[in-house]
Amino acid sequence: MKKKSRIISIALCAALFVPAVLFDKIGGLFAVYLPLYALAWFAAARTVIVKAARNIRRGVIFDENFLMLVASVGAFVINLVFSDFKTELCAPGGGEAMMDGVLVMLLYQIGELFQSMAVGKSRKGIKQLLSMRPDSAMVERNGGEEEVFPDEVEIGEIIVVRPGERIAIDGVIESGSGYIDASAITGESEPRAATVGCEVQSGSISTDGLLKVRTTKEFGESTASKMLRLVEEASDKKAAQETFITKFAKVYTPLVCLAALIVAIVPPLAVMLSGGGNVWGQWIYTALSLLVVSCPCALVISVPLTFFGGIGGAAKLGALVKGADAFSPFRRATVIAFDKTGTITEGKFSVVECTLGELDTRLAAAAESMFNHPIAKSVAAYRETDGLECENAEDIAGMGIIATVCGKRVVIGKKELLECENVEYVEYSTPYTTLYVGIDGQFAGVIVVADTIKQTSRTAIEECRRLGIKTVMLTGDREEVAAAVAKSVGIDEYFAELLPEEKVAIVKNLQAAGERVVFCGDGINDAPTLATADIGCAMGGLGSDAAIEASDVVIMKDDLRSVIAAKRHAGRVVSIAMQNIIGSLLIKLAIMILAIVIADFPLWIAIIGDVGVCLVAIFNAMRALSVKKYAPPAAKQTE
Amino acid sequence: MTKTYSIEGIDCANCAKRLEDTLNKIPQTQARLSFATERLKITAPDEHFDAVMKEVRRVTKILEPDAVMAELR
Repeated sequence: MKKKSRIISIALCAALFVPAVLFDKIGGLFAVYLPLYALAWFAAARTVIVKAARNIRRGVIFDENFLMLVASVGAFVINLVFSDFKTELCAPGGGEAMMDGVLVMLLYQIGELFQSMAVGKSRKGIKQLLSMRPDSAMVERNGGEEEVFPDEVEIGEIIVVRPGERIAIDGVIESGSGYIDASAITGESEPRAATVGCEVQSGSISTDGLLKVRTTKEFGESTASKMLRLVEEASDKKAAQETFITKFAKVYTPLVCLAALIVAIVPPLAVMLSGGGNVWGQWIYTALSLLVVSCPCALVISVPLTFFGGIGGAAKLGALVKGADAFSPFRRATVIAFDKTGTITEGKFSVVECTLGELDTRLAAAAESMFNHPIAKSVAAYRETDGLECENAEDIAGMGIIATVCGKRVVIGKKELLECENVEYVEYSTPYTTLYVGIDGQFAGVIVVADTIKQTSRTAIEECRRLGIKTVMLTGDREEVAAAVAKSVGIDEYFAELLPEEKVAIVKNLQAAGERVVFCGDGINDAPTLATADIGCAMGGLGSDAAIEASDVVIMKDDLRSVIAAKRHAGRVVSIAMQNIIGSLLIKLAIMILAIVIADFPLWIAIIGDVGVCLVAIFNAMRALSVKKYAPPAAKQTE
Repeated sequence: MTKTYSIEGIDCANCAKRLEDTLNKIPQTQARLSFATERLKITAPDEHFDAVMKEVRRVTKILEPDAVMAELR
């Protein structure tokens, strides 16, 4: 129903209700207050009557509209049938049950109004998240700019992004530079500098620069579209709590109605048969209170809303939860297993130690700059090499490189290479990759390169320990490297030199030992392990489809702290859902018991309780959208 | 073929569920209705799609006369 017509109903009902109560309580003028009550009732009830009639035609009887009608009409009937006309109905306050009947409708309508406002508000919060998909893109065509639907832009075309605009399609910056705000995608609030050649993701905003971006993907395959699809589809998979509620609601309402029927008939019949007199009115009135709380609305709305809000909240943290069914196992996880390369570490080499003199280091860097190998790149990037001339660069496969830099013969590689070159060297002991450097036949020193550990990994693993979660590292790398990394980040246990299927086996062993395992991998060859773990976290965005397919949660940012934040958030979402389930059921039960135990328990208190618990549950559900306290602070990516 | 529609004006989760269940009874049709996002997704064979949509609109009109449906790009 439209909000406006509901407000009119409520106002009209209230306007008739107030004089009715006055005539009733003060004058006891039956002939005046009866029509006023009836009209007030009708003002609020007319839309409910329409809806109830529609549902009954379709065979739905236990419908909240119908139940509210029965409860309110019932109050009128009791009042008229069981009250003596002269001594009760015409005395002040004689229409008390009728007043209750009108109040039931009035409060029900007010409750529905608040409820639809609350639902509208939380929908808005969720839709805000989904609004990051742009409706149009500016594309350069035929020497001009054209505004088109983003799905009409082909791969390789140039799109123009003005300051403050959202990038529509993934691509590489062709010209321009500026700060990119990718918070909608990664949850990272700090804008990142980007310039020509940098990859940019759709959904992020160019904060200050005019960018021309050459698209590398179609719109539908771009980050923002993929992300939205995941978030939208996530609510299709129901959490266990949600399934429970749906099933429960189906039996709850008929059961409470049956209880109401029993309460209305059995006790007064028993009293009557035992000669105790006529107490029908009192017990039927009690039964009406039961009808009022028989609607499972608080549960049916708030529980799915909690999980939907939870998915939205996780997205704010840069974690895409693929289904509401992931929250519970995520919350209960006892072990987090990490892949090493690219997950705990950066996945790229850099120089960690260098015993060479400054000039020698520059010579080595210049020699390595001739090669494309990741290790060579890391050395080349270590020092400025401008103006150093390099020639005769030669790659000795599996051993190292030889090159002539500024007329000096530079040999870099394994110690065996130096032996071949007859250079005497001093052995250097480190678990990491060691490059021995010889210059003009003399040993110059060593350069140690390693895959650097992300600064954030250490914090994340510390946090795991604080939360009492066991950490395990699984890697295909050598034992010594694994040991060094494990020690450096403080991981509890590690397994090295593993094949992908051995990673799966270790996860299975942990599960067999009763652990619930989260596995975080960067998703290139980790798909089987991601699928085996109770919760698979694909790290680092929407890179590989296989990883997305196999995982339960996609972490958009290469930051392990996001995993911990998402886990804590999952815990909160599940507890909000449980609070709503247990809280609403307890309050409903309490109202039922009070109504039965306390004679003349006012009907309007029952409905206030019922509407109130529904609203509280909805507001509680909306808390699942806010994640501020879990968001990790921005940090430097490397140490 | 699958098409997505925005559907506004359904104001209770139970009603949404009821509508979804009823739409799923249309032969060869799969309907997914999200109360929270107000999206309706209909999957049906290409050749019957128009007929299915006609039925979807008819059923929706009966169950939820206030609902407004629009196709999304």
